[in-house]
Amino acid sequence: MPNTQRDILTAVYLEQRPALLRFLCARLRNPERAEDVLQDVYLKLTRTNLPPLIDNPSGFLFRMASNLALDHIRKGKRARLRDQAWSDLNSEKSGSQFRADIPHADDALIAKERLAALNTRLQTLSPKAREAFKRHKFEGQSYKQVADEMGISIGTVGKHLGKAIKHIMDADLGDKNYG
Amino acid sequence: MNKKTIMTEQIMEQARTWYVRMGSELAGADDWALFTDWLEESPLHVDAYDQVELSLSAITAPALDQEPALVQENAVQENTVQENTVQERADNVVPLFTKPNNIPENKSPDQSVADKKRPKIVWARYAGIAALFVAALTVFYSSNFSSQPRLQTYATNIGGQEAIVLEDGTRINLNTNTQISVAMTKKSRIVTLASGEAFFDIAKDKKRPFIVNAKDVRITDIGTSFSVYSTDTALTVSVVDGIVDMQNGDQTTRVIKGQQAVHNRGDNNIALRAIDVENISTWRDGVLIFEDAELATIIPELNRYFETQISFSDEDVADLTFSGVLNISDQSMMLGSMEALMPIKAERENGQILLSSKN
Repeated sequence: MPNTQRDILTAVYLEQRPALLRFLCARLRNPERAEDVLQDVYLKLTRTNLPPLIDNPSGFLFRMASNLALDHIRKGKRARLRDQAWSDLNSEKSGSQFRADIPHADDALIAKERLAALNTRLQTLSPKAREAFKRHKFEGQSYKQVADEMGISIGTVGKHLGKAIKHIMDADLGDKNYG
Repeated sequence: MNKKTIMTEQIMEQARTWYVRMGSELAGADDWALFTDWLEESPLHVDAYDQVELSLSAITAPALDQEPALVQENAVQENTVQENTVQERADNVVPLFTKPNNIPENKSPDQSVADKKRPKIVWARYAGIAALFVAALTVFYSSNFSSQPRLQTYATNIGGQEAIVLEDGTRINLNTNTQISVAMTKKSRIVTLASGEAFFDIAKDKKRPFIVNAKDVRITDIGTSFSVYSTDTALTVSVVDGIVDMQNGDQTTRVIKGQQAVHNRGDNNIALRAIDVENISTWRDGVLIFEDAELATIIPELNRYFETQISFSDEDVADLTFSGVLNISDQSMMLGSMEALMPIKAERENGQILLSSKN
């Protein structure tokens, strides 16, 4: 039966749906958006290609929900920043060329700049933590893979990642882009 | 910015710890429930978590963008690291993981549920879900944690019916071969109809909307009673009293008292027609009412209630029409009525029942 993987995930989805919804309500602070994101999870689940092997189906669904929720949060934030830029522009009749460009700012360029800044910050991190972070975040390795390849325990992987994230966020301190 | 001034380093530390813990491929439903608890505890927790996720969004952002082409075109050329990230994540939003072995011993803000080995047990339970479809009324909880809203599953076997009364006074009747799950939370009441047919008589509660999910359609109640019947090919909603909204993708269809809505799977349209409210969900009284219905449509309906399936031998039988009431609590009695009211005879053959013309 070729659909077994999808069938199992769908069954797990049905079972976990209330818990997923509760998580999304808490994460997004908005029941309607939570329902929307949950709908997206279902569509993804039923209509996209799934990995051939999923060992932890409920975890898989929650991670999918979490990622889609973040997407929503980021979109909302971008829209707010654009609105802000527009209103700044309009209140200041003679906007400079640079400012006039802001509403059309290319998100990809911003992302690239942020990534470059991130790379710089990572240089001042301890080598082990940097390696664990890069393997997981850039190469998409699982905690288990990182642990195996670095010859450390999964718990230590978690500690390295925690350290890396703190390091990045400390460098962000005072940066008004977040929060 | 007030938020920031009272955002303590302790909360940020907790947010980071949760981020690492939930980033693990080994985090299961229990972990996510605890994480949800933490998010619900305080808006500051959600703010803190936002900050953690957004500060790392240079990495996760391209993956989740709805405009991958834009990101790739502009960002890829000069930065190979990002190219990899974009490509991988765009193809596969949730990365594939290998077998879990040990659970990470992250220090968790609350406790370390993660110490359990859970995957095997979890899988065993999901395999069992299929069995539930034919099991007698069954109740189980999705979690041992009282903080998580309880998910209760109810199922009937072929020929079975069950009446359920929820804590809010809502009554649900399950028809033959049906499975639903019910989740009551502070903010909503959600029923998922996995298969079969159920009749809902909803207790009013303006603060907690009542939602029925069936396949890809969401039915929102506006104080009413209605039935929902879900098959592989169609979803039928019949409203006895009040109003419901059926949401299918972006489209919402309002169904009012005395209307029946049919949504065929794979088709976005929802068709409405008028029906007699007296004839909705009469199965609750052990009978089905037909008016000028052909046997070809009646037989599949009757077969939902019995293990022993009925078929007909020739097209003449299929074309016969029937008006009247059939008792579905006893198959022999039901066949007796049919033989008395129509020119047919019923014979048992190879574990089946065959209807043929009397002449």
